Amino acid sequence: MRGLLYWAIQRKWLFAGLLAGGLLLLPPVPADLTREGRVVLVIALFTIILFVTEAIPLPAVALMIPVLQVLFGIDSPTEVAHSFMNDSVFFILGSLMLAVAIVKQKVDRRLAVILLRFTGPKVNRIVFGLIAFSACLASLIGEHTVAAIMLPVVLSLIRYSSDEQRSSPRLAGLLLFSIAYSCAIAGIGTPSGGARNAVMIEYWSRLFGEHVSYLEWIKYAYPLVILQVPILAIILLNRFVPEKKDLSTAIRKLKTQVYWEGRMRSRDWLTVAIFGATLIEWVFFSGRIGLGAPAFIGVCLCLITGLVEWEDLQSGVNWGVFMIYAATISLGTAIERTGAASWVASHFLGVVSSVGLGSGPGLLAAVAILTVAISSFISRAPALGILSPIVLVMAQASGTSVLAMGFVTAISSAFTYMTIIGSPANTIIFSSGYLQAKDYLRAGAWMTLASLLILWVTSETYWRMVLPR
Amino acid sequence: MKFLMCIGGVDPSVETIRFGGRIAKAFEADVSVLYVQPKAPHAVRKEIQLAREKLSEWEIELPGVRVLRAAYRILSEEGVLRPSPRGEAVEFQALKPEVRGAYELELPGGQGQNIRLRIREGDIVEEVNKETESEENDLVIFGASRRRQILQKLIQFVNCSVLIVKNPKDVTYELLLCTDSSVPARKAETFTARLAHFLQCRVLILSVAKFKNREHVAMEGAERASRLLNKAGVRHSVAVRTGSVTEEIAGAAREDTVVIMGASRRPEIWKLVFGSKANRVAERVPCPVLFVK
Repeated sequence: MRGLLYWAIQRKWLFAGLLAGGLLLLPPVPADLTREGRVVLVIALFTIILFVTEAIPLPAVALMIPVLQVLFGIDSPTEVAHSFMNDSVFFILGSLMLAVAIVKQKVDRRLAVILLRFTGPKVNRIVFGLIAFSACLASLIGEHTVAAIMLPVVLSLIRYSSDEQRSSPRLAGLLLFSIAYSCAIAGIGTPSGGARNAVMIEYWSRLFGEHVSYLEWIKYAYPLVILQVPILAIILLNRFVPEKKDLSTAIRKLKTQVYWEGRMRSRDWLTVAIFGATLIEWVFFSGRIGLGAPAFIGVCLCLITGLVEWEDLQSGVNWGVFMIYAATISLGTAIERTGAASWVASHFLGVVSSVGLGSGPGLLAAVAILTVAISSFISRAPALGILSPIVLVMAQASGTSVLAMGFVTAISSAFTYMTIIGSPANTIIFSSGYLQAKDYLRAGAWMTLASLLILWVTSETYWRMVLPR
Repeated sequence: MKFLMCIGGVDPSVETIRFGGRIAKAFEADVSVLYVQPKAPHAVRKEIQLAREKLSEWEIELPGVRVLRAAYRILSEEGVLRPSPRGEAVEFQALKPEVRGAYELELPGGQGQNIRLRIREGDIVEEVNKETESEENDLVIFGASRRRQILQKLIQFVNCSVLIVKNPKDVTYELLLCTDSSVPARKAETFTARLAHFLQCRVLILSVAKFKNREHVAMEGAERASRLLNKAGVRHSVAVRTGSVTEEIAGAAREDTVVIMGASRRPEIWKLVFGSKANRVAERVPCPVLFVK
């Protein structure tokens, strides 16, 4: 009895979600909403409650989404299954697998060697180097992988720069946030930088017939990465004034530790070649063969050449995240198809129009702020999966560019600097034990403001010139 | 006997470890020191695992090891751990991952007992219950959390006897055995007899009747406890009072007292909603409290 009671207490939000869902299904359906639309919105609310509270494991929530769609008659089992799998989901899975193959080669020490060649012992140069280097990598292979790879490099620097651990908290904050925030700003640069980018590409294609290739995404989004790199360095150096300006001793010790790794081995070059070939396929052929196929070609080559074993992929890939993306794309499609997206969009537009933000730049700014707020407290996969179809329909209804709205939503979801759970990189650096929650506000608030401003200015200047009407 | 010491960080837990270590040494008990960290969100658990693997490859201490290192130092000072013959430092990199879902380092105790330092992740009650189920611990030792809700959860939902180390002092303690005619109270009496025997301390038996006409029942309970302690050769005195149980216990408890009481017999849902005597006592008294289950 005691165990059962405790189990129930721990899952109180599951019961709260079920109760809220049941109550919302009781009143008559609003005149301007279909029955299916109302049910889909209730399922979305229920899953959001579970995603936020983690009352049950997130992959279980992902599995519940198609089950509920089938049980409530939203669509046939076959159609629901179809909505689960698509090129973007293949792309996300392939990218996760490629990241595992790269990590398996233990490139972190070699990357540290390369990084240290370019930075001297001065802290400001190290910070700039860390940010630029991590950003370059994170825009290609995913932010969480880069954060995990770079964490030991930075922790070694912190350890070697002080005799007693935690004696340089500002230096620790400066270096750790350099990794996390550079990963965040770079994840927007290419479709492979963040799975949410692939989700947006899928929605554009599925709901509006707009096809954005890998290269086009880089053309529109990468300038924001380049603009944010120096700004991030300036903000961090001002918010975390380091206790030491020179890390000569730490650099020397770190070099001694990593140089024994020696030169690149043949399998390292092979990994680089396979990833390079995949990148070329994404950039030049994704319009014809999609994004998923090149990723899978890369994974197959890694398996064939023995760079990675299938068991490594089984244990290294976050299958739960993959399931969550697949499920939320399916739910997002249902939200649009049943008219629920239009219903929410029209009501939201009614509210924001009353304060003069009903279309164009005002609407984009409102959506960007809303996305940052939501993504800071809920995993970005479900946040984007559910939010995207609604904001895209809203853009269409208000005469705003669907592409601009999509970019604003996907990109602003990366500006989750202020919370520990805002991004995988934020959580990874927190796990080092050097940071407190308040540290995230210290630099994160300024960084959020700066990033939103850069995004808004870019959308009003650069995108107006280059985005198709 | 097997004791589990649950700690929540270096600074708040130093005195808890020291206090628990002394009791464990007196009993020559096996000791597990458990540090429970919050669990990472599900969406990034793989990435956190990857980061930890990388830290291990670079021979950087896992998060949480600092806490165990402090526990190791204190237990060594208290003589619970056997000093290394060559005086070498313990290699904390030897923490083995994923031993029954935890990170573990096993060490020899001063009297041949087993000492384990462990890190787990997740909800504190669930993780402690996993430990007590797999290790069959007799007692779980916690520091007194300032958060009332956590204290209530620990007292109510941990599956074995619980010692809340509140305001510990370096003094010879007197045990305050709170008894009545219930089955849990009998368990508390047996535990008190063992504890007093090993720690060589005096016991005050306190039996409280809520109303005047129930005084004879309280007296019977006190006499039964007294007979048990006599058998065990434990020095003790008896007090029978009338009034509120919580008030009387709080009035009798001093800073050099360890209050010992049996678990409440009320339904679990009642205790959850309205709280229990155990919670009220733990909040009121200025000393450690042991709840025997």
